[in-house]
Order: sequence, then structure tokens, then C-alpha cells
Amino acid sequence: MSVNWNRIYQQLETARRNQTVDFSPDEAAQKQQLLARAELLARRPPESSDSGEQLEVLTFLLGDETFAIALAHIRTVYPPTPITPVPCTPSFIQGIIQAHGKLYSVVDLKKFFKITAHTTPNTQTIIILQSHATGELAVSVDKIITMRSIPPAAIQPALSAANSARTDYIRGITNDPLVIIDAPRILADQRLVVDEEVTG
Amino acid sequence: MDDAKEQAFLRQLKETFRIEAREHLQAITAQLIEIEEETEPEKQLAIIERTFREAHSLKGAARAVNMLDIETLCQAVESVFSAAKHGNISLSSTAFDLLHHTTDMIDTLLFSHEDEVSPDVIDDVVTHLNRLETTGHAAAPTDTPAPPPKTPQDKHHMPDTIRIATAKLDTLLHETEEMLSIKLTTAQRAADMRRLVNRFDLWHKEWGRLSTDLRRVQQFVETSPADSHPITPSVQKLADFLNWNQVYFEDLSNRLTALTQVVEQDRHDTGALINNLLNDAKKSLMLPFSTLLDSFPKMVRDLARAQNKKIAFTISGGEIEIDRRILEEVKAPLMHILRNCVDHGIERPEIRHKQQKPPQGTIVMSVSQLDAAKVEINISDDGAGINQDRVKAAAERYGIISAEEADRLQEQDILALIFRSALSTSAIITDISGRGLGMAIAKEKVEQLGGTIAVSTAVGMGTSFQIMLPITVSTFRGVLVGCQRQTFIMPTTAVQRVLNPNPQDIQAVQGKRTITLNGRSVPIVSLNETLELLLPPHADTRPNGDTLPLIILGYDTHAIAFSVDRILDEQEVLVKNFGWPLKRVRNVSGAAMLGSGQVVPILNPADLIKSAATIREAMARPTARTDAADTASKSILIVEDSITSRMLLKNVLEGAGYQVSTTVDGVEALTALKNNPVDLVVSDIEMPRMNGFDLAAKIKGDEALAETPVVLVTSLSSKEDKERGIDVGADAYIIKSNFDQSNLLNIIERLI
Repeated sequence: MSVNWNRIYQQLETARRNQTVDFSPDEAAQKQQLLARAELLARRPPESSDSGEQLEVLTFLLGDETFAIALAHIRTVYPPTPITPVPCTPSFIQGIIQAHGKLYSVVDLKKFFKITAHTTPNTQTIIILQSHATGELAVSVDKIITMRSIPPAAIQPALSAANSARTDYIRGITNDPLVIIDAPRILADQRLVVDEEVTG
Repeated sequence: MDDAKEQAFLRQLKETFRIEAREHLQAITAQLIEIEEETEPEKQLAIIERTFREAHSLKGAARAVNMLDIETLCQAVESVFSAAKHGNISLSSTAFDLLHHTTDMIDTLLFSHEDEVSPDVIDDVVTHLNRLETTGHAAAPTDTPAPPPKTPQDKHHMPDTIRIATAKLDTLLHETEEMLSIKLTTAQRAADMRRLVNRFDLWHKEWGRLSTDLRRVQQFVETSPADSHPITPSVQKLADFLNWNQVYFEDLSNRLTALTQVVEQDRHDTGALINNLLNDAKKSLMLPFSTLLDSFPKMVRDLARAQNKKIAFTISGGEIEIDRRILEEVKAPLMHILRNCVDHGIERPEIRHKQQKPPQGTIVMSVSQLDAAKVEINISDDGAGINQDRVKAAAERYGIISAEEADRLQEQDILALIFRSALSTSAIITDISGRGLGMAIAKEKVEQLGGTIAVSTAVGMGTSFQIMLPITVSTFRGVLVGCQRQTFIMPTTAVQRVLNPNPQDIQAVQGKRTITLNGRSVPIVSLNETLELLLPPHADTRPNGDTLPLIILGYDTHAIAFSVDRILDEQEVLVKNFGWPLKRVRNVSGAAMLGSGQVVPILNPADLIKSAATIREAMARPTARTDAADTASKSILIVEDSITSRMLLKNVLEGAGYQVSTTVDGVEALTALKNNPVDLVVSDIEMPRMNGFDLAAKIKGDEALAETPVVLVTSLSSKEDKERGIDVGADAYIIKSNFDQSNLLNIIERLI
């Protein structure tokens, strides 16, 4: 299945616009919105789980497992890109790439989550995560699958199960199963920081 | 020649004065208006005070450039404000008119030639001002109409100088530097196109070979009747197409060649434009040296006083301009060298007296411009000079050189040793300098900036440091090297030499390979291995291993030859920092983008040299192991009467892996030492029964214990105490107020 990159870019753009647009509806619109909400609230909750704000995610493969990251945390994506390895770094740092004149460090999510099944090739699909606190970070994934919306009710808390390397970074899982990654957690993690001197 | 230089300097000085004076005048004018508008006497007084100071500063500056008229006017204005400040007079609106008139006149004087304003007019204003000062009455200055032939506004619509926040300039420079990527990319495109043009050569050649065949085919079809064979019309069409094809391709080839020439021209123009832009952007970031040097006289004075030394310190060449970034970077090295001059260079007055030198030592710092791109900073003292035997002894003690090497060293080599880390010849480690790292850091900094540092000395006569620096930060250049299937960049400034070795020049001793260069044997280390790149275990022993190209980094006894798989190119590159989360990576400092868009890691030479040393040690594993065992068993005796300090010290030292025993005073310590000798003693000074000085003296006087290093840790910081520490033979003297663990541990590590 080939990835429709244009669709992804469009959707990311929409997601970004939704985040950044100054939301200031006029009084009538506000009133109407409030009325609509009141009506929604007054309704009995339906049996199905599609109520509430849907979580828009991008799903991708790491090894044989499917993961997802909320669009809100994604700056952009790049089709398979050659990654320059950087010597003397931990194995989860796959290397660096340049995009739009900027240098990004690439974290190999498979290594970071200790998914051992495969070795990572040096040309990988890249997702650029964004955070206002630390800056941007590129992560490499095996394959982007698609974008979808997940109803919040479908998300269950992650079990602190077998693979402990990742439980800290999981926002929840669905029945598919789809593992939803907590991107801000990764972006804020001090364990990612490489700060080493030559000793001896 | 000198006269011309002096004239040029004076001109420049006056120019600077004009800028400064303008600022003062603007402040005074603004404040005059404020004073007049202010109704609260207290606030008014505060502004008057500020204006008084502005006038005073302007007066001082005017005197410095010998502009006497301005000085006189300022003096009169200052006096008026002084009187107003003390409440002797109050300023009427005519008084303000007079003052404004005076500032206008000063402004005119700033930019006029000598006789443009007649002395009478100035005298008249001064008289008015004096009258105002003494009586509080001001006559309208309109009695003497403003005399300048042209009003200042006519002459100077815009000031020559404006103030811009450095952050803005930095951004501008940064953005200009980014344009380098355009230059590099254009060069790459031009090269790509040249290659494309060359590929038409093959086509021409192949076509040339077939042209006779085509002609024959054509003749054949033309002479045969159209219906002679069913295939004839098709052959005719094919032959026509091939002819058309040739014309079409020729045309394409010509157009491409023309386009390549245009791109080549663009590359040239873009390159030149960007170079000029970058140069001019850099020039806008230049500052005179004086902005840095102005703080030095006080530093030297304070240091000298703390050591009871008398030092005359002079600076020249402060007006020479240099890139602000270089100025910032070079501050620490210069300060270190100055400290060295004060601490180790200039002797104490009594010693100088004995040597029939004037009691006051001299340190001279001079900046001079060597050419359009370089400056030299010379720091000289007339002190003791560097004792080469002590340098050699210290280098031997720290294992930097062997005894045989020490014997063979020439004077320049010995002096070069002072730039090696962990080398200090100071008999006692003091807080100012002597920890032996500063000179190494100074050298590293200067070299990073693309400069050089050298030292010359004569025992008893003094020492002189010459630092050569580029005037602007040059564009980064790097040597591209190939290792395994990867490419790396080595900063060109760090590369001493690149060579393809002759296998006969390489010696292998116990698996360690070395190459002899200029009579010195330089260790060879594989860059693959240093960078921890995965490689087959037998790679180092492959038959052609000895012919791999070598890149030499580091100087003299510090040099290391890194073997690489390939040396590809040397070129200008655009440096990018990694940024979060790669804060600092061992051996790699950042990355560069090549014109082709390829991202290439930039290596960190200082790190590589350190890493290589570790690898060499690991190769000689047996010795390394005994070394490790030694460190583990190193024992230290703490002598300290305060239980808190004792506990703290014990904790710190045990934390660092030493075996620690404790005693509470000198007497107990001596007994303990005689029964159980240790590798080092850390002692307090003030203690009951036997103090630290006496303990140190006893230890140094005892044949069995004399070799044991003694570190005195104390709150006594007077010079006499430190000297007493030297007298009794202590090896280091650490003042408790400056007492942090790393300092103590560093010193201990160096002593044992």
C-alpha cells in the first residue's frame, strides 16, 4: 500500500491551523455554539463510542507493531530520507538529517523502545515532532500507514507489561491493537539528551 | 612613517570623540529641557546632577583630544550646573537659552575648522556663563548672534554613526553566513552541469563512428527505387530520423554548453557577492581592542597588590579593531597569560633588588596590526623568565615526556611544553595560576580562532608571549576524509599535515604503530577505531594498512597521526550545531552541509587526541592494569582537628576512590605516618599541639617521609602564610574559602 503523502501534508496543515488560528467567533456564533453544545449535553449518551473529541493520529509501523502519534504533536513528515550516522552516540540516536536548512537529530524509535526484531536501515521515513519547550525532534519509523480518528472511549490505559522500555511513553492502546505514543513525554525526556566528554 | 601613523591615529581619535561628544550633547540638550519642565525641586536636582556629570565627561574627553575651545565651554557650563546643584543660583528661562546656545556652539565647534568660530564669540559666551554662575543672571545670548557660517543641521543631516543592538547585528551576520549554502550549492550545480556536458562527448564519439554507415545507408536508399524492397521506405524514414536526431542532439548539446557557461558565471558572481557581503557583515562586528583591554590594568594592579609586587602595566594599540567574537573568545587566554606574568614572571621586590633590577616590574601589552588580516598581541614582562630545567623536570614528573626525551629536547620544544595540560612549573600550587591547565587552554583557544601562540624567554630577563590572531572569524574550512563508508570533516585549522606514508617509515612495536616525522616518532591511531566505527577485527592488520593516508593533529610531543581510508577534498563548509538533544557528543562537534546536500559530521580534534591516547593505553593493556591497581590502593592521611571538616574531607576523598585514614593533629599524624606511610597527606594548618606548617616541615625533613606530598588546606590566605607553606616544603596550598572538591581532587590526582 502506498502512502498518500499529499493527503498527510494537507491534514497536518489543517491540524496546525486548528491549533494556531485565533478562535474569536462573533456573539451570534457563540450563542449558536453554546446552544448546540447544550443540546449535545442534554442528549443521552449513545451506546457507541464515537462521542467527544476524536483524537486525530498518524499511524505507522515499528517492526511488526502499529503505533500512533497525535497529529497535534507532529510538525511534518518526510518520505524515506538518508540519515547520516553520528559516531560515539547511543544506539537510539540514528543520526542526523537536514531539512529546510536545519539539522535534526533522528531518534530511532525502534531502538528507543527496544523493539529488537529488526535492524534499522539508514534510509527511513521521518516524523518531525514539535514541542514548544524543547524544540523539534525527528524520529524514524519503518512505514507510515495512514491517518485516522480515534474516539477517546476506545483508548485504554497501557498495561505496564512485558516491554518496560516503552511503558513510560505510552498514552494508551486500542483494541486493534494500536499503541498511542505520548509524544510530549518523549520530547521532555532527559534520557534522550547526549552530553558526553571524552574521559581518560 | 611613524608620524603619519600618529596623524592617522589622532584623526581616528577625533572621529571617535565626535561620536562621543554628540551623545553627550544630545543628553545635555534633552536634560536641559527636562530640567526646565520639571517642577519638583528634588527631581530637578537629580537631573541637574546628571547634566553636570555629562558636561564633566565631555570636558574630559575634549581635553584628551586637545579641543580646547570645547573644554573651556564645558568648564563654564559645568560650573553653572555646579552652582545650580548647590542651590547658589536658580536657572531662569534666559539661563536655559544661554545653555542651549552653548551646546549648539559646541556642536558647531565639533565639526568646524579652526577659525570658523572666532575666539571672541567663544569668550563672549564664556563670560555670559561665568556671570550666570556667579550672579544667577543670564543675559540673552542674542547679543552675539550665533556665528557659524553654516548651521550644524545643514552640514549633518544624519549622524555618521548609529547604535544598533549587537543581537541584531549577530542575526544579520548569521543570516549572511547561511548564504554560504547558496554559494556551495551553486558550485555543486555548476559542477553537475559540467559533468553533463562531458557526457555528450561520448555521444559525439559514438555518433562519429556511425556517421559513415549512416551516409552509406542513405546513399543506398536514395539510389534504390522505392519499391525495390518492402523495407526500403522504413529504412528511409529511419535514416531521416537519425539525421534529424543528430541535428537535434547537437543543438541540445550546444544549448547545454551555453547554459553551463551561464551557470558558471552565476556561480562566480554569486560567490563574489556572498564573499563581499560576508566580509562587510563581519566588518560591522568589529570592535577596538580597548573595549576588552580596559579592564586589565585594574586586574593586574589587584593581583600585584595581593602578592606585594610592584608592577607597571602599559597597553598600546587598543584602537586596533577586531571581530567582536574573537575579542570575546580571546579574553580568557589573555587574562591567563597576564596572571602568569604577575604570578610567575615578575619577582618580588626584594628578589628584584638582589638581581639589581628596579623594584618595580614591567608588563607591556601591545597590539599591532600585521597586515589586513592579522594582528599580533605581544605580552612581555621583565621578570624571572622561564626556567627550562624546571619545565623539563615537571614534564618528566607528570609523565609527559621520558627522561631520555627530556635530554634530547631543544629550547623551542621545552618552551612548547608549557602549553601542555597538567604542566606547571610553579613550585607551589596557588589559586591564581600554577594549576598548569591555563596555558594549554589558552593555546587551544587561540588555535581554534585560527591563530598561533609562541613564547620566548631569557632567564632573569623576562618572558614574552606573541599571539597572532586573524582579524575576522574566517569561514570554516574542512578536510573531507572517508572512513568505512562514511565521510567526516576535519577542521583545516587543526590539521598539521596530510600525507601518504611510505611503508618503510612506519614502525610497529608491540602492536603500536608509529611514524617518524621530522625525527620525532608520532603514534598512529586508526580513525575508524577512535570513532568506534564497527569494523572487522582484522582490519588493522591488512597488508596495505601501512599505506593508508595519515592526518596529523596536534603539535610536537602531542601529535597523533590518524589513519583514514581516503582523503577526499579540502573545502569551505557551512557549520551547523546539532542542537537538542545532542548537547555534546564525544569526538564530534557538529555537522556541515555540503553543496550536494549531503550532511557530514565535523570531528572535534581536541577530543580525538584524547580518545586516541585512551586507545593507545588500552593497546598496552598490561601496564594499564597495574596503573589501575595503583590508583585503587592510593592512600591519604587527613590531619584535621575539626570533626566536621574531617568528615567532609574523608567523604570526598573516599568518594574518589582513595583509602583514607584520619588524625586530629600533627603529633598524632607523625606517629601514624611512621607506622603506616601513605601516598599523600592533606593537612589543616591551625591545630593544637603541632600545626600544619610544623607537620609539613617535619615530613619534608624526615628521610623516610620526605617524598610524601603534603597538601595544606586552610583558611589562612595571607601571602606570608603561603610563603611559609613554600618554605616548609608543602606541595600545594589550598585556601578553604576557595575550597571545592574538584579543585582538591585535581591537585591530589596530579601529585600522586
